[in-house]
Amino acid sequence: MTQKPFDAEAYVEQAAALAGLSIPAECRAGVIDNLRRAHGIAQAFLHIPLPDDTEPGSVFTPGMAP
Amino acid sequence: MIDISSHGHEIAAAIRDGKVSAIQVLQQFLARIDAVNGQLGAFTAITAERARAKAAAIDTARGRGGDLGALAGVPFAVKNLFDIAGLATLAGSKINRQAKPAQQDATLIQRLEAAGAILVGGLNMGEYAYDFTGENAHYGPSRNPHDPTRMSGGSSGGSGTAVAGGMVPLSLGSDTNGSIRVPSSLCGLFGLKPTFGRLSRHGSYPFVSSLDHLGPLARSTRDLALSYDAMQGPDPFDPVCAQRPKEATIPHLEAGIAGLRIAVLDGYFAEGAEPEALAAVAAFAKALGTERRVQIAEAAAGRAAAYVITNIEGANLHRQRLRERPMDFDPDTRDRFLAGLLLPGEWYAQAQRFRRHYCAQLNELFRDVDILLAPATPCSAPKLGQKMMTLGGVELPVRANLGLYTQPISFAGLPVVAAPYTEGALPIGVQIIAAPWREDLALRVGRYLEQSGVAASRLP
Repeated sequence: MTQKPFDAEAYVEQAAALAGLSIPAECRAGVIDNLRRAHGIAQAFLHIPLPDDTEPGSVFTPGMAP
Repeated sequence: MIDISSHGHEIAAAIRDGKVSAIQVLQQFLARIDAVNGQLGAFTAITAERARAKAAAIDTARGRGGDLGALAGVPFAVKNLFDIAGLATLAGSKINRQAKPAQQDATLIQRLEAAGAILVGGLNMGEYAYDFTGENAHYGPSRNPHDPTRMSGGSSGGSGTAVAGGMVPLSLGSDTNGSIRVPSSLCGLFGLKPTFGRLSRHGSYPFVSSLDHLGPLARSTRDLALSYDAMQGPDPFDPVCAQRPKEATIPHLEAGIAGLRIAVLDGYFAEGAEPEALAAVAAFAKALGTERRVQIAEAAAGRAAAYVITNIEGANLHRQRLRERPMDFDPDTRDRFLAGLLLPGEWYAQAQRFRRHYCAQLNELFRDVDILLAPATPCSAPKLGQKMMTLGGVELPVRANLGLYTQPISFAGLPVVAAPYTEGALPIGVQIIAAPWREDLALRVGRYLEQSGVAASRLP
C-alpha cells in the first residue's frame, strides 16, 4: 500500500467540519501551518512499536471527591 | 534596612533576630517594585494591603515570642495562574479578566504563608502558559533584567523577571514543558521543577493536566529548598498530588556530592546547542569531576509525544472559548490551540502509552546513575520579538525550541534544579536532573555547585 502525502489544507477543512469548529479566515493559514508542524513532530513517536500490555501514562484513582 | 539582594533565608533570619521588622522589609521591596516594574513588566497585580497586614501580624508574633516560620517575612509573588483570593485568575489571558474573583488562595500560597512568607502580587506570564518566551500580546512582555531588550523566557516570565530584577527574593511558577526552567535559565536563577505529582496544583489555572507541575524560582538553592519543603505534602483537592509524606530536603542540602554517580546527557542534548549552553554544562561537569556521558535513546520521541499531549489537552481545555471568541486569544497561542482541536485522538492515546514505555527506559538509566546534566535552554536570552533563531546551523522558531531540552525531561516527570552559569555575557542554565522523588539529590548537587562558585545568581 502506498501512503498518500498529508494534505493539511484538506484535512483542516474536513476535521473542522467533523469537530463543528468554524475557523476564522485570518487564522486558517496559521492553523494549517500548525497542523503541518504537529504532523512532522508526531512522526518521531508514532512509529515506535509498543507491546500490547503497555499501559497509558495517565492513571485514574477511583474515590470520593473530598 | 536590608540589602535588596539578600536571599530569602537571610531576610527571614534578620527578621527572626529582630535586626529588621517584616514591615520594613516589605516597604523596601514594594518601593523596589514601584521603581522598576514599569520598565520590566513583571507584575500584573500588587497585593500591598494584604501584604502589610501579614507583615504586621509577623511583627506582632515576634513581639510575643511566637514561632515565625522558616520564611518569616520573605516577600514572594506568583505567576498569575495561581488563585489569589479576591482577584480574577488571569493565566495571562484577556478572557479571564471576566472570571469571578478567586474565593481563596491556591494551596501553595497558603502553605508558603503558613511558613511566614508574604504574598506581594501576581506576575505576568505567556497566555494560558502556552509559551517559552515571556511575551504577551495583552499585558506586554516580561523583560529580562540582565538586558531589557531580551526575553525573560516563559511561560513563567514574570516569575523570572521579578526575582532577577530584585523585586522579590522568591516566586512561584508552573512548568508543563519547561516553563520554570526556561526563565530560570534566561534570567540567571535557580529554579526547581519537582517530580510530577509532588506539589499540589489545587487553586492554579491548568494548562495540560497530564504534565503540569508547580515550583519555586529564587537566587539560591537554600531558598528553593526552604520554600519547597514548606509546600510539600498531599492535598486531597488535587487528584494528581501524590500521597507521599513530606520528605524534607533542608537537612541534606549541605551533604555534598560524595558517592553520587553523575553523568552528562549526550546525543540529543548535545545537538543544536549554542556554544554558551555547552560551555555551561562542561563547566558544571568539570566542577563535579565527571567525564561520563550517557544518552536517552528516545529523547526526540519523548519531546514529540509531550508536544502532542500538550496540544490536544491544552486545546480541549479551551474548546468552548476557541469556538465562541477565538479572536480574544493572543495570536501567538490561538492558531496552535485551534490546531490542537483537530488532531486525531489516536495520536493522544499512543502518546500516553509511549509515555509509560519512555519512563520505564529512564528508570532503567537511573539504576546506574544518580544525576544527569543537560542544558536548560539551547541558547541565552533571544531578543524580544525575535521569531526565528539559528541552532546548530539550522533556522528554527524561537517559541517552540527554547524548550528543546526541558520537554523530554518533564515528560518523564523527573525532578530538576535549573542552576545558573553566569560566566558569559548573559546567564544560561543547566538542568540538574534526578530520579523521580529525589529532589534532595538535585538540590544537593545545585548547592555544591553554588558553594564552589560555579553556579551563581547575581542581580544585574
